[in-house]
Amino acid sequence: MHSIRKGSMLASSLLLSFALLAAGCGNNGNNGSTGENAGQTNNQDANQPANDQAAGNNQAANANSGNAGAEKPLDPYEVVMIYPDGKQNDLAAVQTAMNDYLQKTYPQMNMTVKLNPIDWGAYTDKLNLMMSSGEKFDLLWTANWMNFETQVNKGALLPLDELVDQYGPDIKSVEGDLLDGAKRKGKLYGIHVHQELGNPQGIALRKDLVDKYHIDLAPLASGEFKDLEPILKTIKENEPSVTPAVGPAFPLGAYFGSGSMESIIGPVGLDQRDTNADNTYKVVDMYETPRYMELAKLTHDWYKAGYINKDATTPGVDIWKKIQAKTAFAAIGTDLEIVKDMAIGKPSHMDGKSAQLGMDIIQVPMNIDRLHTSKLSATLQAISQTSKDPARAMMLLDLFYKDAKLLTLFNYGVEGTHYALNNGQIDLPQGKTKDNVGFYHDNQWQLGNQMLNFTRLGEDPNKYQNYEQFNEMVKSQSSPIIGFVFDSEPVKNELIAVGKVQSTYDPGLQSGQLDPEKDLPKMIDKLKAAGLDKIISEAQKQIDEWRAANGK
Amino acid sequence: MEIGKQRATAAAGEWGSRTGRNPLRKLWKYRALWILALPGILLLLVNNYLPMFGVFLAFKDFNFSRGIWGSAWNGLDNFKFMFTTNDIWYTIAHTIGYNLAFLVINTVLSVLVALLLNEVKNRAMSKFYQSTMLLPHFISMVVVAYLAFGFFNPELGFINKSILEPMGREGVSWYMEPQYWPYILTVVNIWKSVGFGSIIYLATIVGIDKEYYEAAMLDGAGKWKQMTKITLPFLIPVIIILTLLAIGRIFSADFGLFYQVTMNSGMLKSTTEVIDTYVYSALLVSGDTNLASAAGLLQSVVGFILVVSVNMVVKRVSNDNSLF
Amino acid sequence: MLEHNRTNPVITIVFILGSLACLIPFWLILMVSLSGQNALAKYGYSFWPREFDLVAYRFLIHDAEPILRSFGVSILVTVIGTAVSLLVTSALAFSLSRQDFPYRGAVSLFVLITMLFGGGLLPWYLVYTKFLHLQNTLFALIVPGLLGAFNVFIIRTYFTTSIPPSLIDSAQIDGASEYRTYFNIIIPLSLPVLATIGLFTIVGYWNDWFTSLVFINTDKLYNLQYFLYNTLMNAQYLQSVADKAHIDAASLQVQPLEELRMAMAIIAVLPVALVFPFLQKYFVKGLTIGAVKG
Repeated sequence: MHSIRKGSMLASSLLLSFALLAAGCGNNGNNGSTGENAGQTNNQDANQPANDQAAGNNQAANANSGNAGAEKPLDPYEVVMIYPDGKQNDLAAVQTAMNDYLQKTYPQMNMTVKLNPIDWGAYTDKLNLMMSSGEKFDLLWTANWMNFETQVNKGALLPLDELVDQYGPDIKSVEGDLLDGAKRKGKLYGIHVHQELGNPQGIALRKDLVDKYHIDLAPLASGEFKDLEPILKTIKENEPSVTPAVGPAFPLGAYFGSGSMESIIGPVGLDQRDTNADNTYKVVDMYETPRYMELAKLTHDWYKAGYINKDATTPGVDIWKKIQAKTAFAAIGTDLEIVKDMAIGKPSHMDGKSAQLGMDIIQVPMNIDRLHTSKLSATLQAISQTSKDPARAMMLLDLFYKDAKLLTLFNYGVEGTHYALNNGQIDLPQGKTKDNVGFYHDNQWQLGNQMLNFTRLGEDPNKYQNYEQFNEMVKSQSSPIIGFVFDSEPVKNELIAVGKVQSTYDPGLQSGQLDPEKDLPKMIDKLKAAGLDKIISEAQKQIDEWRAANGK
Repeated sequence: MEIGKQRATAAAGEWGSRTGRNPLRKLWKYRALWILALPGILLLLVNNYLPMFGVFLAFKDFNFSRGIWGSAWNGLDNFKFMFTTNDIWYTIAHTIGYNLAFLVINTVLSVLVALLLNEVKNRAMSKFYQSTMLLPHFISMVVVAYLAFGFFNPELGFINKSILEPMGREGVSWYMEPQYWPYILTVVNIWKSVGFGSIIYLATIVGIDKEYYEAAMLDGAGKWKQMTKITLPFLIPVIIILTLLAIGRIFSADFGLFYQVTMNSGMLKSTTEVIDTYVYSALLVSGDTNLASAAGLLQSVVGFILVVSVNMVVKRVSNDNSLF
Repeated sequence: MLEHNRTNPVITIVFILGSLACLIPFWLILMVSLSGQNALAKYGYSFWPREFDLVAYRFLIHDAEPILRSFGVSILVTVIGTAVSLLVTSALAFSLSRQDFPYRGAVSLFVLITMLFGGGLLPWYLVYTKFLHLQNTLFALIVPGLLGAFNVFIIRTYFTTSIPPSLIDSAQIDGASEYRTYFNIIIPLSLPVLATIGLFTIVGYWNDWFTSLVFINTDKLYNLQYFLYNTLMNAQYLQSVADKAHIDAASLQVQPLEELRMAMAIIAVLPVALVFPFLQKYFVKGLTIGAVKG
């Protein structure tokens, strides 16, 4: 009977029991001040390390600035790392191994780590509660699609500019200008994980059927999804039990988003297909671009023709399972694997996916991301304002950008126990499986310099060289507003309303169920009623200011 | 119930005369009762009353580094997000509409089932029916959502795969067709709550003194007459209490039902959006929990006002049946 | 009454259909949990799988340790929580049931208000972590469910309606203290209501995953429902994360098989279904509801 509703807050008995409420407040005065002076109160809360904090901080500074002269060791400090992950049975063993390694290799830093993973399903809620209650932790993983902006606005994160200058030399040398993507109102709040800077999107096809019907993939070199139609038709006519194409969002998803729009916020952005040079910085609504209409119509036609699956936007549908069960032929609009010499329309074997599904899959890229500012805050490490020694947290973070051994411990566990090296690639130890090895995750994208990592057996051993090559390609086509970050505060209520309209129509349009000629105008009307124009003019204003300030 | 109350009042009279008039002495005399009540009162204080300071969050621009008390006030700003568009009105309409529909349908069905259960003569069978019908009440919504998905999954689900397709009909993309969902949600709600409701009413029916029925039968009253003239009047107080409690929550929807069971599918929103899901999806966009504080406050205040006023009306009509 | 000894067949049919409607969904998930993965992808869900496969249950047994532990946590919390809850709730109800209890109206109101207003998540969390320091202990799983206002009123109503005040009166004339009255007279006479509320409480504790989510950070103390929730939600969640982070959801490898989820759902339902018939006989007697003012 006692129920606590998630996300829902409660209310007082204003009318009834002022006295009771007042009593409640009185009792909670202590509580409140805990939050208020988080730093101070925490000092008292957290036993010994806290008392040494101030001293530790100074010494840390000395140690680094003095460098050679820093004989006096720092006081011990435990850096608590918060990140989302599934359950790992051997987490404690890995943590011990990391600490032994840190103690042995960097004794002057005198720090230990405490790994504190949180389940994916609970990450947002728990992190929010931990921040609200002023709990002490140091490094946390965050992202612009995971409340990073709110965390910054609400003061949960520390500005890192000085810390990274002082304690993050390797971060700076690896990331360089790319760090700026996580700046908000001129200050740096997150450290970008060094990884691929974009993704290719396109089509993944079953090789057995491509071979069986001698399907010619050459027409796809156009990079246009409409040229896929004859291929889908062939499958539809010859394989009645196979859905020709399945996908999460079809061409309207990432393919449209990345290839046609420079998104600023929500549905608002710059139309990349507008060839008029005067319009390069003109903010528009993506639903009103001709390209969107074109792709929405194509999707709708395919839906009617039975070329694509009906449950595309049903939550929890796993498209790869359909391919594995041989009830589907192609996955479209999905992210593809990054390979060597990637080019639009150029087919290649999808190594990882093929190994995973136990069948040969071919991929054909239809679009390659440009460098977008938003990608530079899509996976970040940040430092909590409750950290007792932010300097030490930054030192540890810096190690993950230069020390492959430490990074390997975090990503793959202890050699011999959790992995074995096989020709320079990560393999499971003899007789172990993913499920019983005790430590197995693919969190490489959450921390440090990904390019320092080993590859897993079955992956292209040159995976990270390919990434670097791919990154050059992405960087060469950087977005016209690279470095611009939209401040959503002035239109936050409009964004919520617009988001609602989108969530109502997007699934129908992306799955092809809605007829765009009929429903798209309706949607646009609703968006306008929700305040879309206000968002557009705010975005235009900020873009113009940014251009003036940056001389673009 | 009535009879018990009379007895109790009589007893209270006797005790009262022995108690004396001094309030402090009275408290001391009943210290044992206070001690028995104390753990419960303390728990309510900790679990329910202490957290009520959170009401201030609805009016604050909460900042993590400043804490609840240090954060700046921002008046009614947190409430604004709900009223940016007109959507809130149909959302409120849905919330009230569903709740009223559930209330009416569940009450009618529960009473009906209780009456019928009372007619089942075989005690073992009666127990069996009660058990099976109560079972859904004990299942968490997460599991219910998966049960529903088992039926409505557009490509694999039971309805499309085993009913519509063999009939030669095209399968329905259930999670994209809003028109079906008012019915589906109502059925799920009935499935989950009628068993429980009927047992509450059955408890009252069983408690009715058999003499009333015997007297009625002597007067030649038939089954129908007995039901409407004896059983229903006994049920009315219970119906009123449960209805009053439900009215207090009329602005709050069962989040699990509207979020989990619909799989939060956007296309269904035109018929399934309720205040709780509205607030939750706003949270997903903005990540700002103050919005939830504001919405929660609004829901409780409206619910509270409704309960108090409906209770007042009930009191005027029949004082015995009011909740407080 | 003699002529009505047999149940009307129409009623019987109604109830058989009603009972079936309540049981069928459970049957469906049981069967899905016993299906092979490929058969599921090909033929969909059905009431009799085309291919039986125990892989889901084998998987659960193979990874049995965390499940067993969470099972243990759930049972411990449920047993202790229910026992303490019944004691505290009925003690409060006993005082409230006494007409001569001073300020009973005010205390009733105090209880009632908690039914209309709850605590918010964040302040509630702060009270438990900063004030009581219960995070990461079993107490955090037990204390929140100990007292529900609704239960207090049901028990209170039972006390006032089913236990003759003369009984209490005569006991006290014989010199029995309030405590003895409560323990030796009231409690033994109240089995129906205690069983009923006990079952509510059991179910409340058993189905609770949210407290675990909020207060527990160590997987040693996860309860079964949270374990289940986590498995179910991770799959849904990862799908959306994968889209946003441009990573392959499958490579995160927490995507459980359809039949595995269903098998876990079955395991979570089972204990409630098992304990239920034993308490059910008290139900009708125990569930009488009266007005708050009493």
